[in-house]
Amino acid sequence: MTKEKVPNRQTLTKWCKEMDSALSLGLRRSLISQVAVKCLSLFSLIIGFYYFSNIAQDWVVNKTSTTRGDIVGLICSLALCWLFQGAFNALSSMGKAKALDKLEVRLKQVFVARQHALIRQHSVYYWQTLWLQHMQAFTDWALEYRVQQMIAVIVPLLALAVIFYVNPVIGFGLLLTLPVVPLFMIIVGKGAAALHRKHFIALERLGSLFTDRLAALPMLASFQAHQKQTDLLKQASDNLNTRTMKVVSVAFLSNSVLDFFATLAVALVAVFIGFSLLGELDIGPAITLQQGLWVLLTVPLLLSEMKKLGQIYHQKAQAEAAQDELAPLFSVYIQAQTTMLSDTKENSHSERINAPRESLLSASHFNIFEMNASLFTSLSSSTNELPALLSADSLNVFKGDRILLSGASGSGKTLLLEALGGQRPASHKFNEPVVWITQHPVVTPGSVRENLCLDDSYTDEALNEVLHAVELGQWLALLPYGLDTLMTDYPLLSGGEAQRLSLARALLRDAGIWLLDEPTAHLPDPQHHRLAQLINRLGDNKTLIWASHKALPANWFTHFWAIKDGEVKTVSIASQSKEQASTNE
Amino acid sequence: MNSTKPAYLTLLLALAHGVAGISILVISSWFIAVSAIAPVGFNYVIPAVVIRALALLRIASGYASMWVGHNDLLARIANIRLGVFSQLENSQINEKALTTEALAHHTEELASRWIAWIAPLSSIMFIFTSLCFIATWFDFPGAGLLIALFVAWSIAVVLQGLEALRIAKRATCANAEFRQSSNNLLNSSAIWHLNRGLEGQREDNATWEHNSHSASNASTLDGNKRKASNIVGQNVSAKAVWKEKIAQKNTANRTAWWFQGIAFLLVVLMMSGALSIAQTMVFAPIAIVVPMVLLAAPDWAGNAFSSISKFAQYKQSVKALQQMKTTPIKMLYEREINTSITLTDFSIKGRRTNKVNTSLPAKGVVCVSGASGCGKSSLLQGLAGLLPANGKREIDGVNMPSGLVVNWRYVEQEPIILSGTLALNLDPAGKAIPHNNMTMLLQELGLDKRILLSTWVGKAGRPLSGGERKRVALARAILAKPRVLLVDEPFEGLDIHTQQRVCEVLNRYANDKLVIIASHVTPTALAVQKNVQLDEASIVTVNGEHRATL
Repeated sequence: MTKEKVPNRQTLTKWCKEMDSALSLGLRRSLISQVAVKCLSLFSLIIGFYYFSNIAQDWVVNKTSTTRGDIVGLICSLALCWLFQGAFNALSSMGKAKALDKLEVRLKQVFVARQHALIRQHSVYYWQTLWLQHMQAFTDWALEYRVQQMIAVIVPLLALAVIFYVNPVIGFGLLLTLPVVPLFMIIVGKGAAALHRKHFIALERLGSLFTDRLAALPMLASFQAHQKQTDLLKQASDNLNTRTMKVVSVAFLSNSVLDFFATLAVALVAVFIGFSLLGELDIGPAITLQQGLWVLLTVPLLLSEMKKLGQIYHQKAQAEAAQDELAPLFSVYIQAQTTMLSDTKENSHSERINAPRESLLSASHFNIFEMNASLFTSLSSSTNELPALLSADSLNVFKGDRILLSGASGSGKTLLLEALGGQRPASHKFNEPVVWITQHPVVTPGSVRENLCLDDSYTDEALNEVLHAVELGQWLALLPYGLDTLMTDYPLLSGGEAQRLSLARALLRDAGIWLLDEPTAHLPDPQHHRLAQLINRLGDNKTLIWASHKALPANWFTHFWAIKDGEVKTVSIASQSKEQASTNE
Repeated sequence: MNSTKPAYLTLLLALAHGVAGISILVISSWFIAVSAIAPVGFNYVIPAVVIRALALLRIASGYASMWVGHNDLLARIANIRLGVFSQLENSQINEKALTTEALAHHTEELASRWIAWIAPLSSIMFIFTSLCFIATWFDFPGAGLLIALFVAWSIAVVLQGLEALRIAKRATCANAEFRQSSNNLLNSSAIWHLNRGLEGQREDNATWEHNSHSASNASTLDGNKRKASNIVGQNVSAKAVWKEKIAQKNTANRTAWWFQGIAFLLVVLMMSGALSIAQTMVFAPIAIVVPMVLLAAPDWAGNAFSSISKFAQYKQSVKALQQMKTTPIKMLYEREINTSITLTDFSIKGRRTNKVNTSLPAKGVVCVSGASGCGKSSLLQGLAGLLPANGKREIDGVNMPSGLVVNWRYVEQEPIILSGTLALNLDPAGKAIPHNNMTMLLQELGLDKRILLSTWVGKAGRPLSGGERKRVALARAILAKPRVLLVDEPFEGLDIHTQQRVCEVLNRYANDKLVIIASHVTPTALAVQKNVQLDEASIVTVNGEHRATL
């Protein structure tokens, strides 16, 4: 089902490889060292088995105590096995922590580069899940599942080699009777995959049905629909359970096949060795107790690692789910790596630097691209064939310009502002710091001072001054602790006051460009007029780009931009006022 | 209870699986050892048959325990969830932190306790005890060492259990802290660009990494400073959560590792003869049994340690479910409204809204207007009884106590669409509303004709646009024929033509019922009988009482 959803998705392994090299997560190195250490540990264990069976031979057949050499050998090999196992544990947890740290740093980089333009697309819950769970699911798979996968291939080969060395007949027999490792990988892979996917989906569906109705609790209460919905829920889960069990019963078989071979191999080898020792069977070279015991101890290793792989199979399903969310986000790094090589000269950069001083932006063939376009290379319209979300033949902004941006809702006004502010991949952006004022003012739960300063520091006089400038003086005077009053989750601000606060925040910064994204959209008309006048007055010496739905006096502006059908056009004052008149109707 | 039967069966089968496994190992090794010295008259057929029989038993019990266990798991999950769901009838979940997904996870954790830890732990315990018992009874050489290993295992399990519980607790705290801080960070994304620290990151990540490191070290910073850095995002990190998760796995691994060390040590002690077990038995084939068991112990007893981690998670889930705070919704019987509903000093508890004093007619359209954030939708919810309120709500001069009035319907601003057919969504209570009425009303509201009543909507169904969701929810409310219909922002996201249609439907419904609409736009087609203008709630307009609560 998941496969149908994303038909042209890369395989997990390929994507992981790209991620690893693009983000330098060090997955490969960690993987190889873990596998090597674990294999060494298991190899020491096989050597330990040798000494163990030597001692047993001495005890049972020769009826003597053992030689000192065997004891020392046993001690050494078991100690080595133990130490390697310890090292493996340490490597495993270290590798994971490191990879997660790096991923988090990269995630924050993406956040910083794309900012609000990215975050606003999903809920906070979505980002938290991505941050907390998906990244972990990815590393678990990359550094636990894949390690076990390699071990499950290498260790059986190792064990088989030892068995061949001890007794080729048994070795050959095992090779024939057991479908060999690759075949097993397929059985486990396909079987367990089917099992887990089905099981996973079943649990997921049950869960989603449950959460769906839980989220609707108040509605169900008010409609008196609880009883009916409980019945529905019960019916649905009963249905789902019987269906799932039917499918899963078959899928369990594949797991049992492993168990079957593992158990039968031990039993048959034991019987074979016993009968050979008794002289009942005479195939191949003569066998001693030492050899027999060594083989018997080694045989379980053929399949035990494979079984462990089956136990962590869910990691793969989770990683696949994580890939769907993470891939578009981190694709910027992967693309950056490939484009960095081909595109070294930054033509659009130089163009901007050579432009006359008072010009802030002079863009010909302006284009805005998809969110996951490259993060680091500067995109220029000539070298890129990416489809543009929004384009303009030429856009010019000079210092002190005041631009009114109009367009129907959904036409891309926000998009344009985001691109100019550098939060979206586009062919051009302002090189100077900008200040954004959005529809919904942000008020953090901290104090008024923190809300204004963020991580800068300003004097109290400066803060008081801007608060008075935005007409919040009276409000400030009424606060119990003045500038140190905490805003909490329910700040003591009306919508207009909150917007004034963000205006004060903007005034404190010395950025020369203000990007205003419908700052008065949610205010009733009288409020809108007062605030708009305030913005106009305070932004007197700034360069303004003001996106607005509501009517604003045309004489406040020097230029008019209109967005229509994915294109930004400069319009004359006359047509602008005509358009405004028609929208006001 | 009937439902525990399959659980015990799971346990029994897991036991059979484990016992068969260890028996094969012991009997095979003994068989080989005996065969090597081939005593006279040794009947080799019986052991060989027993070994094969055990192999079959192991395979069969393995499959059966898996099947029964999972069947039981699914049934249990369904049962527990239904139980939780019925408990929640007419109540609300208070905590924001306890998202519905978390509830789903906790119930799953609760249901999986048999296959996750009870079965593995008890089967290992059983095997260990019986091995010790048999070894002592038959006086196998090295029985003392086996008992020593059992003691070591028990101690390790207890110690790890305690540690795991501690870690699980810390993990819960770390999780809550991360949720809080990342919430603050992500909610303020619109002002990140004003942050010098954050802007700097675009150029230089190395210094940032250093900063965040030092920030996490200095965890004793006072609250204010920490909050400040939360805004910047330097301190927001999921590391603490991951650390606990990795730590949980590490303790399991570490305990398993120490257990392996002790088992190996005991093997060496026995094989080297350091503990002089100088008996005549020593050189008999039976002497091989205890060393074999010891050597294999990490394999068959080591599983216990990962089960312990699951046990800790289970405990944490039980606690979370117990602590789930819900408020019951009080249901009030509907009363006929003859003349009016009067609100006196009406305000929502815990919100900073102005007190409302107004009187609403018994029928007609009432429009509540005001800027966004001034408490329009809180007022509507308070009126419906979904939010606790201060002040009086009177019908014909008789006070209504707080609670949800049975036949008043509130239509949310962001309506909830159940995952199910459209018909189910329109008639969630199963009142057998004729399908004709449904289609008629949907047509009047201008809903896309291609959406049939049998169309699956909601999660995993046909995606509905915001406007469509609004109209479906409105239709659902109207079909329930409420005495008072409260609609939150019905015109948002609708084009002018559709607004017109919605107005007509609302006007008609208001002929003999009361319709209260909260909206910041008022289409001219709406026959408004009374307008309630809400002022913006601010410290300037809200009276002094709120200042005291600060």
